[in-house]
Amino acid sequence: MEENQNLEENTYSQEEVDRITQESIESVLKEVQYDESKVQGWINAICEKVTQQLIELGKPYKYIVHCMIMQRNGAGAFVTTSQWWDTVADGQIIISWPKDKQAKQEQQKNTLHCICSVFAVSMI
Amino acid sequence: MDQLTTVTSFNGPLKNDVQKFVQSTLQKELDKSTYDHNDAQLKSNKICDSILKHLTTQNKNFKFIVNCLLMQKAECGLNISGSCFWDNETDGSLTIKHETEAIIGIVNVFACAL
Repeated sequence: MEENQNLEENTYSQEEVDRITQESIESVLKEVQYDESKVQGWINAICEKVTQQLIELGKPYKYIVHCMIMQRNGAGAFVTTSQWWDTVADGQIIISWPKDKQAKQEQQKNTLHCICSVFAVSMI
Repeated sequence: MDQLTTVTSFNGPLKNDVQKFVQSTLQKELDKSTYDHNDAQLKSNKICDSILKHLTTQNKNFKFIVNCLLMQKAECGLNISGSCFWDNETDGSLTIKHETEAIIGIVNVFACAL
């Protein structure tokens, strides 16, 4: 029983990180239109919110939160990542917001696109 | 060159070496080419993989994360930000931007000490 508990405490939970990132992005970017003067503030807010909540999880991990906000103009873009780490203990989440279904439901003229990547690197 | 394989902090000579390599890789891949949606995926994978391969042969004391963004040059705004929770003395990051007539390439390298 003790061994299982230790394992849980020392590995990070993919669902938890996913939830934290989604909620942080939603809370900052819900119903906003792209505004050049405000974007810097939003992006810093997202990064700080996510990092804060990740630290509160109290797991033995180092975190890297990378956030990108792009104005929707029809331009193409590709994001790729490669990692050299421990595939068992370390992990990543990449969230693209908004998901297309969401945009259609809300009938919102989406003027921006946000891609947020969270990398968790184990310290043990 | 041998000295770089044993360093334990990313900030210093290792960072300079990585910066030069990333800049030359981006120049090689992006100069004299236009943005093609089908090709861009392969190109960004190739950039990431070649940078990662170079990093791992240089120094084994770190875990590395390489992030590459390729964007078509257009009239649109772009903001990028990163936030890291780590050990400031040993860990570090690098961001390199390379712009050509048709493409903008941005590479981030994050290194976490083992």
